[in-house]
Amino acid sequence: MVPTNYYIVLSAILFGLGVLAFVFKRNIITIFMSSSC
Amino acid sequence: MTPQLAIFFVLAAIAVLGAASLILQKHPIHSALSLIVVMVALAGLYLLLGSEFVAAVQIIVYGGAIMVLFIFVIMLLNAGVEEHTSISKMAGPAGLLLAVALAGFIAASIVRSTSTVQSTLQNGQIASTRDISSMIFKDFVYPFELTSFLILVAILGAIVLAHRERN
Repeated sequence: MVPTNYYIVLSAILFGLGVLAFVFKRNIITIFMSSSC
Repeated sequence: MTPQLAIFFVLAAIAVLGAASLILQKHPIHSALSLIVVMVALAGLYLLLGSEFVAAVQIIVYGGAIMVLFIFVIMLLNAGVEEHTSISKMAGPAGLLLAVALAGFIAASIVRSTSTVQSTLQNGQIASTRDISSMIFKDFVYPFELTSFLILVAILGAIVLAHRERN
């Protein structure tokens, strides 16, 4: 059984990467893709 | 280390590397392919959680339909490598400050919500496909139908925007 905290930490990392891409990418299509991430 | 934990770490590493690749790639097509890797890894994580229906939807809808749509749009617009310009001197410090504030807010929310999530998981059971379909078509039928209406409006809007006047 995988602890729930591990999933929460992974979700936070992926969300943070999505926010980074949303902020730093210049291409609008890539920004939309990062919001799906 | 249990096999489930090992699979989780492998899938989590694939998802994080795919998301990092999405940011680092300069061509949109490469970013889209990286996003497909993230979607497939997430589907594996859903399977690990025992949610077969959500995993199948993740592959069919996100890995299939949404990604085909993205690649179609990239090729239709012929989007090339993105250009980098010099960052404004005003935007740098302000963006850094806002990023730190957002990270702090997210961290505080995670710390506060961890106990709530754990108690919910202990009390509730994992919803099966039958339970999910029952919720969609009984309890949340109006929001579900409203979503389909929203998609219909988006389709009509796309047709109007793409329509060209004929001489």
